Amino acid sequence: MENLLLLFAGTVLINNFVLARFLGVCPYLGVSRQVDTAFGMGLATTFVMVIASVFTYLIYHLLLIPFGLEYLQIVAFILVISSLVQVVELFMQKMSPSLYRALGIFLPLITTNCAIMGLALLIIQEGYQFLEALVFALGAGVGFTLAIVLIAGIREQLDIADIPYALRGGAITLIIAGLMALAFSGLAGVV
Amino acid sequence: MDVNIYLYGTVTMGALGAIFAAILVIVSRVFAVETDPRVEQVEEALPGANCGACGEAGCSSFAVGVVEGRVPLDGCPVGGAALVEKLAEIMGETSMLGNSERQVAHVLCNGTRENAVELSRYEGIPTCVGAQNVGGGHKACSYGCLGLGDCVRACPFDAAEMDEDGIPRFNPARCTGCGKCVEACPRDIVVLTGVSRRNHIRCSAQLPAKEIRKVCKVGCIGCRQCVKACPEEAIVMDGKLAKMQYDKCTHQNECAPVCPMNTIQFIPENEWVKE
Repeated sequence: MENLLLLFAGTVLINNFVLARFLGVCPYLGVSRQVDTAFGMGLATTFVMVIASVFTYLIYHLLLIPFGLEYLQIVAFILVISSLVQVVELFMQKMSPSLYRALGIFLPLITTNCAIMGLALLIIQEGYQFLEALVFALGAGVGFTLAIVLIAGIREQLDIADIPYALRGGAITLIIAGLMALAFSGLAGVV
Repeated sequence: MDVNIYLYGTVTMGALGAIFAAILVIVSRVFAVETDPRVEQVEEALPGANCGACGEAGCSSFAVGVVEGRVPLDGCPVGGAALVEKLAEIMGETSMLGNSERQVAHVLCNGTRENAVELSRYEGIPTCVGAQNVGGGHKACSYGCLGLGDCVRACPFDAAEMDEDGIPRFNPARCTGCGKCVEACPRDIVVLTGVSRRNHIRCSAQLPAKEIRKVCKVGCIGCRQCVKACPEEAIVMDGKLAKMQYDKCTHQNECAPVCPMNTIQFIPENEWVKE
């Protein structure tokens, strides 16, 4: 139990997917103009991460290993994740339009998010058990949400700040992202 | 090297792909949701970069926003003016719900440099809002057009231009009825009317006749000649000002000839549309 908690905290804060592993940087910079949308993106990513980790874990251990097809894991995972996201999106659109409006619009973007693929591959690489994989996925999602909401909050403040002309827009965002990664690196080695 | 590995790989991946494809087909049939076809049209017109520069989560989210009216047509910085035109075409007729006619802008003032008296020369920030904030404007009439072109600058479609006489003209061929100029005008004298409307009372001044004569050559003096002349009772008095009820006007042009101040304008067919 203590292991799982440490794993969770470590994934959220220390080995943060965005700020320490630099996975999922595209939505991190792209969908972080408003806190509201950033939070929606974070939630949707967390959701997909947890589901995808379950399915990729099962596919890997029940299908790929028995047939000795570990070398096909990337192809198989792409297949699983993209189909899964599609199904979830269709399902959500019909069954829960309000949830679809809140999350659904982010789902197609997440299909190609490297954080999801990275998560699936890391679970295999680290040799996690099923429960550990679940906690790891949840931590990754929460960490992503934390990072994207934080930068969205900062960017909302930047909109009204007096930024030097040359740094406006993308440049200042990249600088902020770098500073955040530096700040989080201060936590390295705590767990 | 086991040959079976090729067989296993091909069969397993093929089967996985087939199964997922089948599931997707079934699910998309079972959970089909009808959507506004315009969403698809708008999404097709968009650059599809999913860059998020508009503040939305991606192009599809932007498309939904446009159709819902939540996102402005010119919200996509990548597409530029060409995209705005395309989107306006897709959204064009339905952007004004409940009114099938296309809306275009008109300025209800004809206070050109020649017609309207100027109190002073304004040399501040060259915007109408600026002039309005300095002692209520440089024109003697506190209702009329300031002529500094806030509406022209607000127009995303190059439909408005400032005439040499100091009054903006709107080109109905280009105007999409977006209403940006209506919002921009600090004196609220730009209105949207149906594109076929040809009689316009071009004065917005709520001033008694005596005052009007002091400040403008073409202001409405409230004489009611047009009200009496109109066979459709389309013109009513709003305080000291005659007001056109556009939904009743049938363009018989009985009003313009009787107006002693030449306030009422009659646009002959296609005068501006010819470009």
